[in-house]
Amino acid sequence: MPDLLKVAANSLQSWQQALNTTGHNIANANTEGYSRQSVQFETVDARRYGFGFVGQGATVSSVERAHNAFLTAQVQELTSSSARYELFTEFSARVDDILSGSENNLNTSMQRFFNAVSEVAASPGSIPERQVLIGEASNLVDRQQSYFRLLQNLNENVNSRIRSGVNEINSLSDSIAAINKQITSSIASSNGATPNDLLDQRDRLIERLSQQVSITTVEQSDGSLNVLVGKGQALVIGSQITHLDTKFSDTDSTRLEVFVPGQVTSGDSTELIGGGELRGVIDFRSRILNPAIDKIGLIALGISESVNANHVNGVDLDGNMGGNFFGTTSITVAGDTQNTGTTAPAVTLGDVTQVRASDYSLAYDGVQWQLTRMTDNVTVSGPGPLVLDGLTVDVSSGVPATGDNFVFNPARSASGTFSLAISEPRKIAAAGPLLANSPLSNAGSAELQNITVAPVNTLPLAGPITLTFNPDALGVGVPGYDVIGGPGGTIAFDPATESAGKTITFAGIGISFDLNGVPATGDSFTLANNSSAIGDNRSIQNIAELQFQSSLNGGSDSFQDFYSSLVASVGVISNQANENLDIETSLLQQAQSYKDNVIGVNLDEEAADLLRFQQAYQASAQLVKIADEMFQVLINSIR
Amino acid sequence: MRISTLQMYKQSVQSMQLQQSELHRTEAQLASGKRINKPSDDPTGAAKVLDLTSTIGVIDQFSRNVAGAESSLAFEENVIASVNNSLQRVRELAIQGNNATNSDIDRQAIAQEINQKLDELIGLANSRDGKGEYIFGGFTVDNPPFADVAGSVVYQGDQNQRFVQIGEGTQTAVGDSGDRVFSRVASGDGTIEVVAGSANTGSAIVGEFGHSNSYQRDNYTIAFSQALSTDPITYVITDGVGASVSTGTYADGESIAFTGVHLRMNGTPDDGDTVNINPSRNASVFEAVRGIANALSRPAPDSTASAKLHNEVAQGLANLDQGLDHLGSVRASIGSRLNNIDAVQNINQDLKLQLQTVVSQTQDLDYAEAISRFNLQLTSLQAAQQAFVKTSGLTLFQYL
Repeated sequence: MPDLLKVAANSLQSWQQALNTTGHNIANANTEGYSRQSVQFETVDARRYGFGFVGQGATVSSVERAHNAFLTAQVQELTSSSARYELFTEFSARVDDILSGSENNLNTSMQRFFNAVSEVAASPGSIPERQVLIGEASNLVDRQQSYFRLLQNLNENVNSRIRSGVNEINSLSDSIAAINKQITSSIASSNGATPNDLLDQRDRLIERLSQQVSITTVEQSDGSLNVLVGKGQALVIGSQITHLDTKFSDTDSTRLEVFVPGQVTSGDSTELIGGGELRGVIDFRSRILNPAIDKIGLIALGISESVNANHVNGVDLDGNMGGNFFGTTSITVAGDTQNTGTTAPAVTLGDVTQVRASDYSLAYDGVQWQLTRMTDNVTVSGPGPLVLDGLTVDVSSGVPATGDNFVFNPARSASGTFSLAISEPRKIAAAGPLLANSPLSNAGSAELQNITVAPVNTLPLAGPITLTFNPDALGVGVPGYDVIGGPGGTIAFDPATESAGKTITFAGIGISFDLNGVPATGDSFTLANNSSAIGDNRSIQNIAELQFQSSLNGGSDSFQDFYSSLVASVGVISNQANENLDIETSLLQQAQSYKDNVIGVNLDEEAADLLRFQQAYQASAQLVKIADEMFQVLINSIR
Repeated sequence: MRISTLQMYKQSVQSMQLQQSELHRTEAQLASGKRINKPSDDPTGAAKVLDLTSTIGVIDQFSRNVAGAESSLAFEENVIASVNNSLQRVRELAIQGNNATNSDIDRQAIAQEINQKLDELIGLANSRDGKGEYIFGGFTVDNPPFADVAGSVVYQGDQNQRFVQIGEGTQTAVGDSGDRVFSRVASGDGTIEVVAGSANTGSAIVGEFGHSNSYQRDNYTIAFSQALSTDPITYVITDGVGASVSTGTYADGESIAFTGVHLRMNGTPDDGDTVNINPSRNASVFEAVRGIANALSRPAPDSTASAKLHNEVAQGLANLDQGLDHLGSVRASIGSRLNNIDAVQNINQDLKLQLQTVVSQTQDLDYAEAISRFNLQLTSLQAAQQAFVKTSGLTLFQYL
């Protein structure tokens, strides 16, 4: 009888535990990350009698949580990758929106600017058209600057997102380390029993951490969990914590990088951040944001340089040579803060059509300098000056030290510094700088045409240049033109063979022109400064032509082509990221649902368990009753 | 398979959210009428639309340039047509005035009318367009290109033409400089001109003249000599440096020919009379008209003066005819430019229509497809919602 009572008491206790645990499960049915717990029973060791063994009932051996290490790891990994694409698409959608504003995008502004240029070319002497051109040019400047501001704001958002991400990582590391400590001491003090709810809590922290950054975890025999990022950088080892920190790049004071204090850093955050939301923003910055800023900047640089180059060779309504139409920009070179040499490299921009939207790095290896275009690692090296992509880098000032490193980007801030240099309509230099004139006395059919001006020139002319045909200009029987003024001397021109046209260049002055036809002896032409021809549109016509020229990116794209290829590339990358996000999200949802199906609570199942345990409890209670009755029968029989 | 209750709710909500976002996208497309609302919706399509839209913008600009060029050229053609009419009238008057039956007074009246025509011609050459710009000044559009200075009409503009862009790589000149239109008319027959010596005393009049391929460019002089009035009239032809080229005996109405030049003279030259055969020079139409007017306004009392009159009028008429031919070729060039503009404009308009069609195909929404998609998405969202409500009501606890 005492045996039966003991069996019944054990059983009652066990079923009560089971009911408690079911209650715990039901209570936590909606707790995120909660693992269903179940009570494990074991039979109490049987008592040995002469005839054999008699069972002594059951007792609770342990309370286990439903757990699948493989599914948990899979969810953790997929959380990192889907968070990465989620943040990437969230940010890239904003660039997408900025670029696509259909009524007022940069493309429309460029179109309207060139239309206004064309209107001035059609009526160069008319002030209203010139006023419209100034208006459209300032609209183009505003558009460039507002793009720059919006993209710059995004860069600040990226930086603050990186900062808050790193803070979150650090505080999660703290919490994980603290829980690690609790878990190891619980396990040690409870003889190996697992503290299920603490483990759940740690799993939740790990999942939140993998949302931020992709991590690997290693479970230790004492129950603690080590957390690593990147290529094995420890965040948490047991209860030891390593904090991450942020700082601006050595060569770019706007780019925030993640690093581990006290360790030599390569300056590349992606070595630490392999996935998660942080990697999403870092990827966004390097794949979308910076290329967009650079490409839009290159458009600004291209327009300002090439319009200016034509405009300074034109003549305004007051007969003066034109000035710059757009403001000019200088290229700043950032030295690595670790540099020990004293070289101050200076970059000058020559041919803007050759410049690429890229960072350029300049490094000194102890023997020579090396200039590298970062997007595709095209390199030139030598003692300097170095020339690449229309850029000349002068390294003659100061003394370099081995390992010195510099970075510059010709286009990065060009949109921000893009400005209008003229505001007065009369100052638009629409006219060509020179006028050719032939006297009525010319008897031949010779013509002087197509005066063009080189980028480097000494215009205006000091005085008129007169060309007079002379059959013996270069000696008896060698015809040509005698030149008075300008370079002087003679020009060979043989009407017999060159009447179809010959291009003459006065390199010293920087002009060239075509001579054609058959001149008569003494026929002459005069080239003089254009001071009053307000109907002249030759210079502004050259500016209008820029719209159709492939004058960007190594001469492969026009301004507008370049913009639409930017829009396309941002679109393609965002689109890819969207697709990746869809895939990763559905994989995550699948893994999550597998995992939840294993560890989550099913209320119907708990209801059934409740009934089952209640019935077992009732049966065990009946056992007590029967034991009691048996005891009464025995007592009564001997009374 | 066991399913976690929380997971069941989460999954239903997720699937409803997904359907809602698809529905929202379709709704946005329906509201904007566009298939592409962001570049990432269709990156290549979006870039294509940008490219095409800017090309359409360029074509619109070309169309505006064409309209401007067309009106400028049409205006210029009108002016030149008026110039042509005036010159024809001058020509008629000159022929009328050259008639030997006219008295000095008749001729003076004709000269007066020709002078009026000259003023009219200068006025036409100084025409201004709707913007107040002188159309024949080249680039110098703010000053009258022609001025009558001390009895001669001088050109004050420059020798340039303004070009505007009317198509990609196609520019057209929207005017012509007055220098080219009015001043650079080759005198005589276009290669040579024949001028009777101003001191001639005979009655010889230069008739028809011309040249052949063997003509050698030089200044030739025919000098007539007759020692006695009974002697035959002979002539010596010398070149620019005084070397004799040819000699002969003059006969009234007979052709004189030398080194590719031939000319016929009527009347009787006096001893010492000369005729110069020079290469053509640039003579303005104004000079021709003024020459005729000046010749007609002088009295012609004797045969010497009469011969001078006829020679000068004939010379002026030859130059005038050259001028009319020249203006004809200017008009032809304007006409061909207008034709070219029309052709380019047609191409531009066709291209624009094509591009607009492609833009519309690329970015515009197919409403039929979008609306049926919208309905399908709506139905499936409703179904998901109903299923959720039904299944979430099912729990064993109801029966406990």
